[in-house]
Amino acid sequence: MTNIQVAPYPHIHSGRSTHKYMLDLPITTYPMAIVAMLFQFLYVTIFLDATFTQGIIVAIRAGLVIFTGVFSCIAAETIWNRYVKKEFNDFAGWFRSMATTYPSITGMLYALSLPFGTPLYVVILGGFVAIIIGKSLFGGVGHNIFNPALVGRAFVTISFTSLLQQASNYQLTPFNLNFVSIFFGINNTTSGITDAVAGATPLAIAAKEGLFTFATFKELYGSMWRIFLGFYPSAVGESLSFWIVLAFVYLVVKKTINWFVPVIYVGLVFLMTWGVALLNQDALGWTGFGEALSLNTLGLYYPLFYVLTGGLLFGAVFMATEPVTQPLTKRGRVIFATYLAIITFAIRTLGNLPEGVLFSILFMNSFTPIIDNAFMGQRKGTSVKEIIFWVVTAGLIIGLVFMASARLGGIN
Amino acid sequence: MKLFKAKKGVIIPGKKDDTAKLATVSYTSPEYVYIPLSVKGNDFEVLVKPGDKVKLGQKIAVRKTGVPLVKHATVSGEVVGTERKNHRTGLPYVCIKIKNDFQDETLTFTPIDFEKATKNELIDRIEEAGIVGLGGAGFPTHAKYRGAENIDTVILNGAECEPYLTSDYRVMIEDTFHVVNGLRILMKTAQAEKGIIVLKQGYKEAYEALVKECAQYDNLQVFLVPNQYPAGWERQVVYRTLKRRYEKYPYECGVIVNNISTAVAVSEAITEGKPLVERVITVGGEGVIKPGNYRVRIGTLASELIKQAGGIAKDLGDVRIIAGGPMMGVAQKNDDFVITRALTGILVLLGEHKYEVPHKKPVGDVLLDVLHFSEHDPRFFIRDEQPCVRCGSCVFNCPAGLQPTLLRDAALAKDEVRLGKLDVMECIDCGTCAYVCPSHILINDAIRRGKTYYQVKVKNTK
Repeated sequence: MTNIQVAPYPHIHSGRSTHKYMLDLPITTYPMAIVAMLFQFLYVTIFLDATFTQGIIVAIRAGLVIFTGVFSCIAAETIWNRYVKKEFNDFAGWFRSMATTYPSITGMLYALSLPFGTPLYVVILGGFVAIIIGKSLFGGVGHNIFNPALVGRAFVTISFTSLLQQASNYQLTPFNLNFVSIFFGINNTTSGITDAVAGATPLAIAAKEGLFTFATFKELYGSMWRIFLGFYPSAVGESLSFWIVLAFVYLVVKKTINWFVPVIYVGLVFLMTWGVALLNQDALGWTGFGEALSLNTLGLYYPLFYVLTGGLLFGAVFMATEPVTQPLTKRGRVIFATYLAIITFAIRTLGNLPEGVLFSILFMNSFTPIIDNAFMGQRKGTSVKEIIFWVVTAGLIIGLVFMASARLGGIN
Repeated sequence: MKLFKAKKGVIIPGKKDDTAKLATVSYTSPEYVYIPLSVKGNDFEVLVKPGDKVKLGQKIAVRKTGVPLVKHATVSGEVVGTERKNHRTGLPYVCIKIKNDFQDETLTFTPIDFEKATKNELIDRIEEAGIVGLGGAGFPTHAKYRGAENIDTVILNGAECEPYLTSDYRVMIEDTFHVVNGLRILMKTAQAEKGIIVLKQGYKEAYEALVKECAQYDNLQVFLVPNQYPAGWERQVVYRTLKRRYEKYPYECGVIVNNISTAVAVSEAITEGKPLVERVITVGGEGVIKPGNYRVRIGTLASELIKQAGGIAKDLGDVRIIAGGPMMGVAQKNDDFVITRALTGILVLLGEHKYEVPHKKPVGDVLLDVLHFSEHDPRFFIRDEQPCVRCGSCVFNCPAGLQPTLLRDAALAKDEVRLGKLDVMECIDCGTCAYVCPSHILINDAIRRGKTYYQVKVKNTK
C-alpha cells in the first residue's frame, strides 16, 4: 500500500552519517595500538638491552593497559546506560547504544595516552572517571564540555603522579607477568632495567637541564630519528610521531578534522620554541653558518625536540580536534589553536609540569562556549575588537618567548 | 554592510537526466481549472459570477490590497463557483472553478513594438498580463520595475540549482528566441545597458543555443555558474556575475534579477499579446512512471497531471508528493493540489524510513543494521536522528554564513535575544544544513519555527 508521507523539507540527504564520520578514528587509532605494542617491544630489546622474552612481556603489558582502558570505558558506558538511563535490555539495544555513544573511541584515546606500566586498577578508575564524570553526567554525546579522554587522563595524572612517573620510567618491574605487580603496580622484585639506561621522559630531562646543547642531545638520544620513531620513555601511543603524522594526513583527506587546528597548534609551539633557541644561541653551542649544515644549524634540533616529544602531536591531532569540545566557526578554531599553543608553551617553559598539552586542551575546552558566543551571526567584517585581540595576542606571544628565554638561558 | 561568503554551497547530485532530454509535452485540456486567489479570498475583487461564460485569457480577479495582481481565466468555458483547494504551500486557498468547454476562444492584447514603446506602457502590459516571478517566489514582476531607478543590468536566472527540475532548461532550448527577446524587453523596461543570462555549467545544450542567439547583440552575455546548491540564490548570482553585494534587494546595487520563464512570459505578452495562462513544469522523481516536462494551463489539478505522466508507481512503499524541488518544496497531504504560476515542478520521491532497533534478529544482521549499511541503498534514506556532535558541517556549508546548530538551540529554547544576535532573519531557508548534517537533524525546520517566533516577539515588543 502506498502511503503519502508529509514531512518538512529537505526531502533528500547527502548520506553522511555520524557513524561514518566517527569510524575514521578507530581506523587510525586501533592499528596504532598494535604498532605501539610492537614499538615498545623494539625499544626495550634494542635500546634497553632486554632479552626477547622480556620484550614480549613488555609488549603484553602495553597491550593489557590498552585493552583495560578501552574495556573500562565500555563497561562504564554500559553500566550508565543500562542502570541509570535504562536504555536497553538486550544485545541489539546494547550494541546500538555502544555504536551511538562511542565509548570505544574515548577509551582508545585515553589508553594510548597512558604510560605502558600503569597499574591496571588506575587504568580502570581513570576509564570510569572519563566516561561518567567526563561525559555522561554532562548529558552524553554532544553535551560534554571537556574532552572525556583527557578528563580521565587528568584524573590519573593528578591522583597518581609518582606512580605514573615510575611507570613511564620503567621502574614498576615490567619483566614480570605477576598479577600483583600488573594490577597493583607494587614493586616486589628487583627491577630488570637500571634507572640510568631508561631515564626520565625527555621533557622532564629538558625541564631539569634547561637549555641543552646539540652534543647533550646526541649523547642522550643519538639522533632525531629515534625521537621521531618513538624510542624513548613515554606514554604508549604519544611517542609514535610518524604514525600520528600519517593519521593526520588520512583524517584531513577524509575531511574528518580541520587541518588548521593541529597545524597552528604545533606550528606555533615550534616557532615559539625556536625563538627561545635563537635568543640563546651561545647556550646552544651553535657557532654560526661556518660549520656544516645539520640539525644544529640555527638551533633547529631544539624546537623539533620540543614538538616531537611530550604528546604534543597526539594531543593536537586526536584531542584538540575533537568536534564536541572545540569552537564551531573557523575563526573561533584559529583562536582556540593559537591559545592552545600559548598555554602549552607557558606551562612547559615557565611552569612546574613538564607536559602542558593535557591541561592546555582542558583549559581551552572551557572557553569554547565563550569563543562561540563571540562569533555569533553573519560575518560583519573584521571588527576593531578583533584587531585589538590579535595585537594583544601577538604581544603575549613575543613577551612569553622573551620571558622563557630569560628563564631557560639566563640572557640579560 | 554585512559580508558573507558569497561562493559557498554544496554539490548535490543533479538527477536531471530522466527529464532533461525529453521534449516538452503539451497538456492543455483539463476538465476543470481552479484559479487560486488566497487563503481567505476576500482581498481579491472577483469580476465574474457563477454561470458566466469566460474566454481564455479573460481577466477574472484583481487584488485590492498590496501590490496589484491580475488573475486570468486559463480555459474558455463556464464559471462554476468558488471552491477550496490546496495551494503549493500546503494551505487551502479559495479558488475560482471554471468548467472547460474545449473551444479555447482566446482573448489577446494588441502586440506592442517594444523598441518604440515607453517604460510605462511596457510595465502596464506586464501587469495586465499577470506576470509574476516564475522561479518559485511568485512576486509580481511589474512591481520590481515600477520603482526601480538607475538600473544598469538585468540578470536572467536560469541556474535552476534544485535537483530533478529541468523546466527552465527545456524552456531555454525550446524557446531560445523568447528568452533573449524577453531579456531585451526587460532591459528596455528598466533602461539597462547590459543583460546577462546565468545558467549552470552542466547545461551545455542550452548554453550553445543561447550563445548563438545572443551573438547578434553586443550587450548580452551568457554566464556560467558552478554546479552547486544554492547557486541560483539571488545574492550569489549577483555576486558571481558582477561582484556586487547588496543589503536587501538587488536594485540597491543597480541590478534586477528575473527568472528565465518570466522573460519568456514577458516576451509572449508583449510581442504576441498573450497573457500568462500556461507554464512548463517538471513532473519527476523515482515514483513517477513517465517523468517529463509538461506545458500546462495554470489551475490544473496536480492529480490530473500525474495521471498524464503515467501515475505513481504502486510497489514502492511510502512516497512523498512534493510541490517544488526536493530541497525547498513542500510535501503535500495528497495529490489534489492546484498548479499555480510559481510552481516549478511536481516530484514524487520515495519516502524516508525511521530507524528501528532490530530486535530478535541474528547477531550478524544486528551488527550490519546498526552500523547502517542499508543506508547506502540509493533508493532509500533512513533518517536516524542522533545528538549533534558539533562537527561544524552546517556552519562551514551555510551559504548565508550563519551558525545553524546554534540557531537551532536558540530556537528550541525560544530565546529571542540570542536568535537576534545569531541573525536569524538572514536565514534563507535553503535546507543545506539539514542536507549535510551527519546526525540527520532537521536543523532548518527548527530554525524556521524560531524565525516565526522571533518575528512575532519583535513585532510585539515594538
